Amino acid sequence: MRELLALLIPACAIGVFLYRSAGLTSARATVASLALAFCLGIGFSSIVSTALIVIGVAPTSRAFVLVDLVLWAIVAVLGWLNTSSTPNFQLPSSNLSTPKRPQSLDWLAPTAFGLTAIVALISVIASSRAAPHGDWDAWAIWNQHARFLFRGGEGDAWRGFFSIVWSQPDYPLLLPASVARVWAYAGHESTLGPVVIAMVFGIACVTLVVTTIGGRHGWIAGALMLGATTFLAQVPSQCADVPLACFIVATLAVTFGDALRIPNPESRTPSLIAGATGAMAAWTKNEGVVFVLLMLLIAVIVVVRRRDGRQFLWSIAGAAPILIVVVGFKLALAPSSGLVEGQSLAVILTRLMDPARHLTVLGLMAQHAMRWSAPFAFAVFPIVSLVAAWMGVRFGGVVRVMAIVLGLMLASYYVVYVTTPFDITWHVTTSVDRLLVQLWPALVLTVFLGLQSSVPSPGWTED
Amino acid sequence: MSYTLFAVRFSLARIAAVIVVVWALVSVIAAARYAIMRGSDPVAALETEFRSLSHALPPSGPVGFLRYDIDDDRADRVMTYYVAQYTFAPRVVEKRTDLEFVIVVPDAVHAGVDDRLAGFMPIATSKEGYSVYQRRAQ
Repeated sequence: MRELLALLIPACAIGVFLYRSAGLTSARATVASLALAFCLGIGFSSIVSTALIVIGVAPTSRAFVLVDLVLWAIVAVLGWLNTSSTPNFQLPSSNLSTPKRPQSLDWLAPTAFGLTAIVALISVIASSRAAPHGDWDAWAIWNQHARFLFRGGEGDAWRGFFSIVWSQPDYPLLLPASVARVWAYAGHESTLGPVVIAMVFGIACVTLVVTTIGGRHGWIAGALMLGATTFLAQVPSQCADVPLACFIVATLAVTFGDALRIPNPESRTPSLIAGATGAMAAWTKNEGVVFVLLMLLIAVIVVVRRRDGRQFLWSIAGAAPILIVVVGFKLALAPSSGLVEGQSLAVILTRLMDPARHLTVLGLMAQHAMRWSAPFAFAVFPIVSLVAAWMGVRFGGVVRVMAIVLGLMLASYYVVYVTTPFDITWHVTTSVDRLLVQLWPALVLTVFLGLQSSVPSPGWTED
Repeated sequence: MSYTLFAVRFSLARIAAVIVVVWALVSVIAAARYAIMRGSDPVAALETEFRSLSHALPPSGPVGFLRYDIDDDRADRVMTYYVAQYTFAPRVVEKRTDLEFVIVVPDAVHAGVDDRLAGFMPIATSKEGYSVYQRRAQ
């Protein structure tokens, strides 16, 4: 249970900050902010843990937990002292939600989602019991790095994994440092630690989509997310793909989906939070760097079009501390990525010009996308992607922007595959399913936000 | 678009929603069934074997690993090596034998005398025959 306590402490501290600064107006916004608090709590505490290990405070020492506790207590106090920029802001009465006449089948969607979620949870727990160390990449990369940080934290032995080329030593430390921190609180290494972290991210992912969309649409979106068994199987895998998916969907939900439902449109909180979650994506996995750059590009375009950079600056304020850590890690600690090691511009261009490589990558990606979540789904990812693309074209606005972001993410994965120095077939077949998992929650969010913008009422009927 | 059948009004959106929800429920039930029926994890068993050898190794630094002469890159053999690294962290397990300690997997040793282990002696062995060899003092 100490593992859970380790996650609760930063979540509560950030929860206090969100509660005080966002002025949460509904149960839905409160649940969404709880999910955000857990994700950001894990993210920020991993940065604190990494800093402590780098300066020589071992996770096995009492000082580690003590410093961590004191820091989070300070954050909670500062969060409590922090007040909303406009605490008494009220929505115009016409915008306040009016009580909706209950319909006889209102209970169906939440019940169906509830059943799906319970069975999904059973599946995740059973998988975690069957494979307590997680999937291949979990024990070969993420939990292995966590063991280096936890066991070798007293001296410099933790740096050992930087020399293990096959264990992706350049990957950021959000997940390994979080696992090491949870073990520090538990007082020993336990397989429960990474399992709890994996489950928190999985639950947060679904919660963010369900609460951002809201109503019956939200419940159905949640069921659709969980019904994709490749996504569901990745939750207990203890790899970084679901955490990355969580930070991607959190950023999009806060930026475009009004997840926190803050009544004051001038509030700085959503921009701060979106900046932080976006940067956390980069601190989770290298693919997150692409996402941050894309979001930055979109933010710059918005600033230029609106001629108002205030929200952009708040996003930068939320992202900057984390991005500094990511850049510091990449420049000062981690070796270069296997994907860029020894690559020259000439080699990359030659590979990009090779039609055979394009055909191979396209064929393999299409094949995997069609079979994603098989045998109970066929072409679910391509179908939902096409719907998202169609909605982006049809409805424009935030749906179009979200569809463009996800399309560009997919395109970036494609370019990396075409230019990979590794065997293409091996590289694509061993990773593309997980890359699609990273985008799945955001894709579902895009489609359902599009659906909402097409339907005037909160329901899904077309009467 | 909506249709009426037996006095119940159906819309395409409602039908699509029902399909999604039923499909999701069937999928997660199948996933749960698969997860419950899943066999025991080979990583956990291998980790237990290697863990019983930890005491024989120094707390950090490089440790050798005897490579397979044939099919060293076969998936199960790669897994054994990776699990060794996972278990013995923060030691760095390297596929070489010019170090003080070498981890030896039973089926990697040549039948009879293995020249690669000349000058070494076993100092710890697990239940399934995984061993740690240490270089003999000169």
